[in-house]
Amino acid sequence: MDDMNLAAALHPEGLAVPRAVELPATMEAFLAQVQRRAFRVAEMGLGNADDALDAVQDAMLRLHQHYRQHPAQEWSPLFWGILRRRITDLQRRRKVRSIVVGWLGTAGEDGEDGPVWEPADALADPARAIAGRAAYADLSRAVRALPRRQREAFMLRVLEGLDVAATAQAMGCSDGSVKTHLSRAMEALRHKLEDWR
Amino acid sequence: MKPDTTADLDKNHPRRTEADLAARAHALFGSASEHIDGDTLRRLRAARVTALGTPRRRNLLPVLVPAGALAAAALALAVVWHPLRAPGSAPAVAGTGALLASANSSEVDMAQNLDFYGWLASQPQPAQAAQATSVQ
Repeated sequence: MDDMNLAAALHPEGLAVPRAVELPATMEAFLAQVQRRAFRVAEMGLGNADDALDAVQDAMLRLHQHYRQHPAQEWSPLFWGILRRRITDLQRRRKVRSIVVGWLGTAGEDGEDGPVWEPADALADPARAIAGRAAYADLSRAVRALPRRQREAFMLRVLEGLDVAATAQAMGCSDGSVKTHLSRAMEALRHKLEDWR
Repeated sequence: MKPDTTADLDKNHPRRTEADLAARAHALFGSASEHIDGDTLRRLRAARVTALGTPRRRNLLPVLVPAGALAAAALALAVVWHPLRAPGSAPAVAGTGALLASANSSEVDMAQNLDFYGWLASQPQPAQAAQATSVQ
């Protein structure tokens, strides 16, 4: 992506730039504001609505327990950082369980479906009933196929619209790393979503 | 306002493509976030209420650190102060203990009733008492 500043490039459309969102007065208002997008991000990362709900609830709980006293402008990167770690934990746990089940050789032997924690191919919700539901499913699949750090950078920076500094804080890395991960993610997605042209 | 750096680019230019892709992905994500089914929304609301209803975990560090420092200081003071006091008082205790240990049972009894025997010693002897009666 050369030295392109994606945010600047997208500015006229008002996308991928930090949203001029009013700071929430209370933590309840903040959580109410962010819960839907948090669910979608978790769902995209985990491919499962129940796991996504667990991850979001846990992130809300931890934010409230540990960071309630922090200034409101810090809540957003803190929350997304907690959610990111929770998603990673669940993905790792799922991977271990998948390996164990693979060793035991119980899956698929008697014609049953695979393990229940396998990412669902389809995201069953009314969002898919709208015109772009197939495109959203394609996007979800493509994003899930990205390496973890690239996926996180894309979701936080492009989908959620955090600025570089907030994304770096949520990912626990430098601004430069965010730009690198995002650049690679965009490159990969451009190839995967050729049909979008 | 920053200029549109992609407006003049060819439609297939990588920068333009990526900008379009990001814009579309962002729009799709926003739309999907708006259209969440009622059951999931209810569960999200319940999760939020549960999270907010959970008592905040208290940070005990500001309490534990001074308490620990105080305890350590008290212990240090006791260690320093104790040897200074001990030489004066210890022999007296040890001496009494040694005397009692070497005495027989009647002497131990005496030692334990010193007040009584003190009073007894101050009383006049029987002979003196009889003499005093005859003089009268």
